[in-house]
Amino acid sequence: MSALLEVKGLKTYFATKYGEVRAVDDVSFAVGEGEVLGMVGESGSGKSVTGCSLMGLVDAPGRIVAGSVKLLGRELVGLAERDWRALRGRDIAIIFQDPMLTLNPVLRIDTQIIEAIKAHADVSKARAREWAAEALAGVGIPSPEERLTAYPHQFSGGMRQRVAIAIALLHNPKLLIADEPTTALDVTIQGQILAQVQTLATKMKTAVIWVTHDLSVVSGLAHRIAVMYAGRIVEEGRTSDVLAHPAHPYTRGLLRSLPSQNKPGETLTQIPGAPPRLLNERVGCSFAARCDRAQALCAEVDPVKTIVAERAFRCHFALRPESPA
Amino acid sequence: MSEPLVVVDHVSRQFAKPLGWAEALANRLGSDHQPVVVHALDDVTLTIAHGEVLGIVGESGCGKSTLGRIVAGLLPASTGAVRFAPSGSNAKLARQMIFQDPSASLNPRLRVVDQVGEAAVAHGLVKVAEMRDYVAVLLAQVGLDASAMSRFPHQFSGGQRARIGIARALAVKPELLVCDESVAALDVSIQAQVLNLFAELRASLGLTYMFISHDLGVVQYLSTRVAVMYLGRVVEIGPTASIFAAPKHPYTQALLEAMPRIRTGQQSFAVIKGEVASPVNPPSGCHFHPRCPRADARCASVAPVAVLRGEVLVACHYA
Ligand SMILES: Nc1ncnc2c1ncn2[C@@H]1O[C@H](COP(=O)(O)OP(=O)(O)OP(=O)(O)O)[C@@H](O)[C@H]1O
Ligand SMILES: Nc1ncnc2c1ncn2[C@@H]1O[C@H](COP(=O)(O)OP(=O)(O)OP(=O)(O)O)[C@@H](O)[C@H]1O
Ligand SMILES: [Mg+2]
Ligand SMILES: [Mg+2]
Repeated sequence: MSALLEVKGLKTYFATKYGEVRAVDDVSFAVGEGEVLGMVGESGSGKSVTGCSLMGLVDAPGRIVAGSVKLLGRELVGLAERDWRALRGRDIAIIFQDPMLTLNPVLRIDTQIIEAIKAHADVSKARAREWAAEALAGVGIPSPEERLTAYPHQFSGGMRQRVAIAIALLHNPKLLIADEPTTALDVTIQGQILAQVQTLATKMKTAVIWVTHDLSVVSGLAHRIAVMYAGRIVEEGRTSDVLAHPAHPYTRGLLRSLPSQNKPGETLTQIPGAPPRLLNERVGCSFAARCDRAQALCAEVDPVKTIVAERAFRCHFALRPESPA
Repeated sequence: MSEPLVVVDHVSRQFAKPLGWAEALANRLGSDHQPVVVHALDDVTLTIAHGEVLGIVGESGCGKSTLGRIVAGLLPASTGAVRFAPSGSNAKLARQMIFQDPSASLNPRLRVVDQVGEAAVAHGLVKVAEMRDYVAVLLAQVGLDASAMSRFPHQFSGGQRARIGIARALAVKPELLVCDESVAALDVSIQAQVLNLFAELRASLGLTYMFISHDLGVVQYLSTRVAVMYLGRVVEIGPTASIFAAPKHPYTQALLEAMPRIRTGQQSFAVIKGEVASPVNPPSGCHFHPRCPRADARCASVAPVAVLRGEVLVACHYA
């Protein structure tokens, strides 16, 4: 069985006046039906650019310079904009951190949802309206018929995000990309949305890529985790394995720096330094300068992807399963 | 027992929310929209002892920042009083607030040395001639090199800017730091550096903190006591360990259940329904009753009074 989505050697670069920013640099992964992949990494690691690359939403000065993105075997890199329009919102959908990237502030909610319905389905006006109300009800918005005639600003942030999610789910996409959609929301609202996404993956077999900087959010949601650093996936594997026995020192550093992983009064483990700029040729491992396990080799040779028992990592001196998390 | 550093005594705060453009326009056309009143804080009472870290948690709009600004002396209460009893003489400088976005609170055109030293000189804590040395000591305290002095804020990373903001607050020798989402904008690896710094400063300078955060993990780690707020009221307050181990208020329970935690195996996220009501029109009785699984008629009509359960004060009829 081949995966629903297969990404191979994806490189997305931005031409800037300082040089080429290698925002996504040789990224490969796959997601299966009904599978939730958590993509975690710190600010600037390339999570959003990866998501946008999968959606054909990379704008100049950025471009995909290499690699392949296959959805059900169909190559998406290089697809014409016309074909993208037929695909986006139907087979693949994205929700952003800011729902106003999806919603138009001057249009009523019903106008926007019905437009999104009619883009991919040939239904009567009455049916579209009914469908829109069902969609709102489906994301837990009370009295949906009434709410349909509201404008986005009449909704709270959490409600707006739910409308954006309802629109993303209208056509039962095969793949949903969620780019930090709950980061700005309260925990109880976040909990409600995460519960909905869980149901979706289980019942509708939707594949989900959940992008976040928060390891704890994906730990309870994702089946597998991919950790990004400086434009690369440095480690990927089953959630429970990665969290219990990180192979990459960066993953371990992230876990150890979480306050919830430390006892009150204990000093948090810090990762010294800051992430590298993504300009210029890579020499050696980009984490080497911050890594407590680095040796001479790390500064010289860029580690290739190694796969051991369902776990992929890029590290010359990966941690062994028996070393403490 | 010695006198607490801060006493917040039945403090309430309302804001008049100005009319939106639509209402203002409608008024011109003959409607009669009145400005609405936001009840940001509703009868809050608490104390902060010397040397403790009081964490304030609760959802957006529940009044955390309003309480923080009132405690920091930046905003007056509508009713009630805040008593602040620092040991030093200058009560105004002895409480300092540190905001969420370190970049926004720093002046982009000022070099770090002036940024950090200015207030101390202006208030006569150091002489102009001694400012550089004074700032160098402060920078060292927050883990920055003296070479940072002549640079501008944009030349630093997010974590370094947060440190500069902290150094600036420390420059006037405060006894109380009110931190409002001070680590929220930082990546975890940088957040760890800043949280460690807060802990070190507490130990070395004997600082007291009011630490506002929506991140329960951070609050659990850093604070000695926690106050849980809901729609302008404190619903539960007590030692951090007790509250996290056995939350008594149904809202605290729901909040902790929704808290994402590192775990192996899928989390069941199904939690409380509904959203926080509007502080313009808070629900009657207990503010939480429309979302509460245990609420009955009494909860809808009578606001519960906080009672002591062990070491924890809870405002719930059924806790
Ligand atoms: N339009 C652009 N021009 C130049 N560089 C860009 C552009 N868009 C993104 N980048 C760079 O690409 C890198 C990856 O950015 P990306 O937005 O994917 O990060 P991220 O992991 O989503 O971070 P965050 O957690 O902050 O959202 C960053 O270094 C960013 O500066
Ligand atoms: N200056 C103001 N004018 C009018 N309303 C205000 C003002 N300041 C705060 N409010 C309102 O008071 C309530 C409490 O706001 P506050 O900023 O204290 O909440 P918070 O708990 O800090 O929320 P957040 O987690 O989003 O920062 C909100 O409804 C807010 O809109
Ligand atoms: Mg992003
Ligand atoms: Mg606030």
